[in-house]
Amino acid sequence: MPSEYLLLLLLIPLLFSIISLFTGKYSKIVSSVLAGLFIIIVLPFLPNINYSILNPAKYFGISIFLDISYLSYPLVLLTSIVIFFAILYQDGKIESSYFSYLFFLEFSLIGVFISQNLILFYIFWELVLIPSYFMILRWGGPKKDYTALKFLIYTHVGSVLMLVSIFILGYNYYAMTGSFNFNISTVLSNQYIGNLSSLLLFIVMMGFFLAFFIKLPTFPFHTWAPDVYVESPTTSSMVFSGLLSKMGAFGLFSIFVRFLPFSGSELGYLLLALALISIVYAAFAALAQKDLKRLIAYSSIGHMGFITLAISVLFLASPLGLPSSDAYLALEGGMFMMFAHGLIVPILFGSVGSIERSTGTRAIRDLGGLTKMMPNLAFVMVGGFLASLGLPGMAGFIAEFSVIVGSWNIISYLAFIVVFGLVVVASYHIWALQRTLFGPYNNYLGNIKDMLPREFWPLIILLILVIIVGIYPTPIYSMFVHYAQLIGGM
Amino acid sequence: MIPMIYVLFISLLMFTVGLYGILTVKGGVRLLISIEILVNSANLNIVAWATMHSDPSGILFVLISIAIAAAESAVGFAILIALYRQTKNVGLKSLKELRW
Amino acid sequence: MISYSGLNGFLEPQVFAAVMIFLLPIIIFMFVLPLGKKFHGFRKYSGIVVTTGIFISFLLAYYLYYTNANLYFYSAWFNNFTWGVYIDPLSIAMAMMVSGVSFLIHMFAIGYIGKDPNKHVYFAETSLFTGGMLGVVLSSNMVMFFLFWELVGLCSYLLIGFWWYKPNAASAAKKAFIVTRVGDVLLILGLAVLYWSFLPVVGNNDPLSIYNIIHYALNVAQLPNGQFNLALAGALVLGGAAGKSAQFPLHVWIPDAMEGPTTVSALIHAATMVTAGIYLVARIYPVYVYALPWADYLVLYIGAFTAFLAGTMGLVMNDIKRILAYSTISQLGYMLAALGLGFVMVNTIGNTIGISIYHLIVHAFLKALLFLSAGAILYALLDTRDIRKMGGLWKKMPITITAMFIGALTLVGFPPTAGYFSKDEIISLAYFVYNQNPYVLYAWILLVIGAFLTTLYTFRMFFTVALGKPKSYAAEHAKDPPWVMIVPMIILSILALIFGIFQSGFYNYFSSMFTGTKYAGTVSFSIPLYIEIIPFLLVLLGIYIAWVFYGSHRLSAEKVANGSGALYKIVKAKYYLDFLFTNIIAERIIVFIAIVVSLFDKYFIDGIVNGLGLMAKYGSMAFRKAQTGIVQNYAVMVIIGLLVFLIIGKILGVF
Repeated sequence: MPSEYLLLLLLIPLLFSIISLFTGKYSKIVSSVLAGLFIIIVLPFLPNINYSILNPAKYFGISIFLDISYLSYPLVLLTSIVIFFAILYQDGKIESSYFSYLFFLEFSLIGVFISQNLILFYIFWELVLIPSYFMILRWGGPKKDYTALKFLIYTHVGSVLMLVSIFILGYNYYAMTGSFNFNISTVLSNQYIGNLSSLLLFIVMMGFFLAFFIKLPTFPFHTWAPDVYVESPTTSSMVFSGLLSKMGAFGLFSIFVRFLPFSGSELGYLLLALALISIVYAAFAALAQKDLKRLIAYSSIGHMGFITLAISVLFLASPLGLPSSDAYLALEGGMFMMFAHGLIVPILFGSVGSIERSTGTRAIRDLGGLTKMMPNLAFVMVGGFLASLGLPGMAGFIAEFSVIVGSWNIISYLAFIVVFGLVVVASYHIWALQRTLFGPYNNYLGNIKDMLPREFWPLIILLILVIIVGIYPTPIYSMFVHYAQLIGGM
Repeated sequence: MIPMIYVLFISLLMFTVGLYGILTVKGGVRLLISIEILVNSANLNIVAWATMHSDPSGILFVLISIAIAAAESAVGFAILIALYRQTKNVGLKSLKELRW
Repeated sequence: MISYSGLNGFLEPQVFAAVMIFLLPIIIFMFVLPLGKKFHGFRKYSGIVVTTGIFISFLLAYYLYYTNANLYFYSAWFNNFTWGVYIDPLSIAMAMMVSGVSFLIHMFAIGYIGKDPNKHVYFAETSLFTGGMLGVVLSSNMVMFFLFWELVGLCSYLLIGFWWYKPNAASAAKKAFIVTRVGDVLLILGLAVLYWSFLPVVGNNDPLSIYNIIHYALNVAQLPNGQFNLALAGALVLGGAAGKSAQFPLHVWIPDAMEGPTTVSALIHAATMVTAGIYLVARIYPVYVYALPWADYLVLYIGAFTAFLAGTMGLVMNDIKRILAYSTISQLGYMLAALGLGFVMVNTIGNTIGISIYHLIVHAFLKALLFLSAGAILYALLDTRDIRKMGGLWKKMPITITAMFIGALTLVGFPPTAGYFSKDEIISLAYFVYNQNPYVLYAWILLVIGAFLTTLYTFRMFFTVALGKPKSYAAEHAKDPPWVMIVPMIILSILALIFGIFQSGFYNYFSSMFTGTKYAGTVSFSIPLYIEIIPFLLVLLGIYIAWVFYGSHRLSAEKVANGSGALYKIVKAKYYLDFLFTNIIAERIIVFIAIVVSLFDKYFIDGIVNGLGLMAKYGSMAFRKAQTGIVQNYAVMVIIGLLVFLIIGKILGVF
């Protein structure tokens, strides 16, 4: 395939974003068709294709340099899938601008995943905030003003520090060669990073560190996430939790890993501590939540802890004198977690959204025995929750298993903390299921209706996808295997 | 010929008076007068240097400057008149609507 | 053993049959559930469809046995893991047992569950369960094994909670899932240790393949730290096995799991799923064989201790299904102890795996039989489970109670039932190993006392249920169930009675597993006759005591209970283990930590975030006062700023 076609991945969602603005009351149907079409468009863009226009030397190092790598292909695919199912799930009565925002979000997310120039990357990274901000502000819950502002400022703080890091890297290149360049593969190569003084290196790493870990989110930068996921409408929660956090993870695996040769073991231990705390802390925090959506938000933070764990294993392997190939399994698991979590978490938010729509509440204590009135919901929700707690045969297990097994060699007995977290994770998932779906029906809820077809079918198909990916992860997994070897070879 | 230093001294004096005026006066008209004094001190300075170097372009610049200062005062007075219509007052204290 | 791989291997008849054994019930599940949901008319056929499917699986398993299959098939999966089937006598025996018993219990369930409106869900889930369990015993890779292992755990969870509207069932399902989950995460760590131990030896040829684990454990043991790693892996895997097979201290979930339908208890919590842990330990036996000895003693003593402990608790329960549940735990302890004996004295390993699995299979028959007859009683008594409300049932439902009598005799190991050949063999083996290794003495004592306790609680239950006068209205009007439920009981009774004759053939079949290894062949062990008959004498004594207390009521059990004071209370409270796990750890400690964490999150972590926001807000409120709006103030600032810059410039010597 000619490499210029890569631009289509950006231009088509942008075009869809404009089209969907003018579709009036048919907006949902048109948008679903367009989003479905886009999945088909994405499929043949197999890695590796790269494409660049604009000579960086002429435009202060800024160029449009796109690359679909073994890491970004699954994420672009995931983005198109999640957006498609989110649109299918969405009630069609909403203004058409909502779908426009969704496509714009898709455009900027794909931009993040495929841009190979730091300035371009930064632009897309910030562009993501715009549709998200307006989606929260326009369709959010009672605390939407507070949440939208918190989200915008919190994640923006991280991004701005990243911009400083980008400028330092660019200037470093300028100081060495006399011309500007911001291409990731150039300025972040060992030759140029090695030239930074240790203070500057620290600042650069901190900038990226904060940007990525805030977006991930990981403890202690996570508090924007529950608010955003809870205050957003269901569809937005599906998209935000499924995709926004993947930006942080993507940054970690594509940019942060390039500092591997220059990091001491302190960074590894810091990451390890963050990962372990995130996993256990989020599990306990979720256990105490009274709101189902918050519970899922915390579970999502816990899952991101596995990504941090995978990264920390990589950063610990080399100072411990182990070959970095020892970290491959954990790395692959961490990357697979992005994909798996992206597929699983929309199911959770979707089923909670249905509960909220039909019962008017999300508080766990007000629910009970919903299986009686909503058998379809029970099926989907049990499936989603089991997938989320890492049941084998579902996508999440492959990721968790790889991370835990892969990290044993490096963190050894500390893995007990991780699996202790897993037990708590299982407990709160099962506990929430028991309290909402099983037991005697709470008659105060009255005569409620089951899931609508528009809610049921997208989620059930996602669930089937989760199971397929869980049983036969090979096509996606092998891409991550390639990428892990790429990281190891850096 | 008057020594250069005298002219510069006069210019400095005018500048100081203008600056003092800008910082202290409370009325809008007085402020405009102070600004005019400041501008004219600069003009005088430029004319002095131009004469010393026998360069007519300096004098041309001063002419432009005077014209602009006139236009500027016209705008200033227009603002003051607009302000007066609103508040029956041209005190500078009444010009703080846009703060905070 | 023949290795196959790839598509061509898959098309080998034996491989294909082996894969179909577990795939078929899963495929049936995928059809039964949506069809039953869509077409109400289909629901009443769902039981027949599923039962037929499982019978086909049984035939396929028999085909493997008949053709003497001994093969290893693998195909690439993700990373360096493979999927496939590993067929040897152990897996064939297990597959035949699982599919056979599952078939009989499904047949029983057609009658038992027949009135439930959601029976298609029940049959779909049990079908999935059977597929998963067959997958467990046939998997060639530990990751695949774990997948099926959790699948059966999931089915257990769903089926315990089949009557989800009952709060007890819902909470029992939750407890079962979480307790087994504790074991499962230990198993994951065990697999992690195995992975890194075998990686240096087998490289990227799947370190977690069962074939590699069996064949390269010796090489791993020769690595530095290898034996320790194997022991660690063994202990962690044992943790997983203890969760699934309800060994101390993770046994607490099975008695609660009795809230599910009785057929589920029979199928999952007595005959098949709970034996998965025993199968797991037997499957990767070389890990224990080459490990440091402490792992072996751990296996032995956890098994023996559980056998004893569960027996004591079985004595004081009044719920018929819970008595059987504790009995199951106790018998599983025997199986684990048998394996432990083999690991402690490795030259008997050729015997012990056969002995353990033989007991496993006999136990599957007899416990399925006991549960089915209990199910028939519950069916007749409208779900009355308290044995004190039964009584005199032998006259009311003779076939059922006769089946139960046969089951009870087999359970206690009364000759010439199969139980005599299986359980006494374990006790004799324990004595034999004790002769070589004094550390095994206590295991032997625990097992012997366990056998005595088994007799006591079994016949306490039996006499209370079968003899005397009916003690409730329901018991007076009980009658035998329909034939579809009786036939499985009769078949199982026959199996329980005559399976003993296959003992030596079974052992020989199992010893063929070791052909070509250094453990080929069996050790013939003989022990003194007076030791050998101790268990039998204890059985007789136990039956007599049970008769005195519960048959003829010559002595009052209540008096003994009251007389023993605190001891009775402790046993009755299940040694406070449930209390410790549920009320202290889960409801107090974990919930307390959770609340502390959530408050910390809300007020400290988020407090910092909001605090920074407020700081910016109020800080700017203070600073904006500087913007007076008076032009002259700004002019002053400009001039001051200019002066400051000039001074700084002067100091730095810029001009």
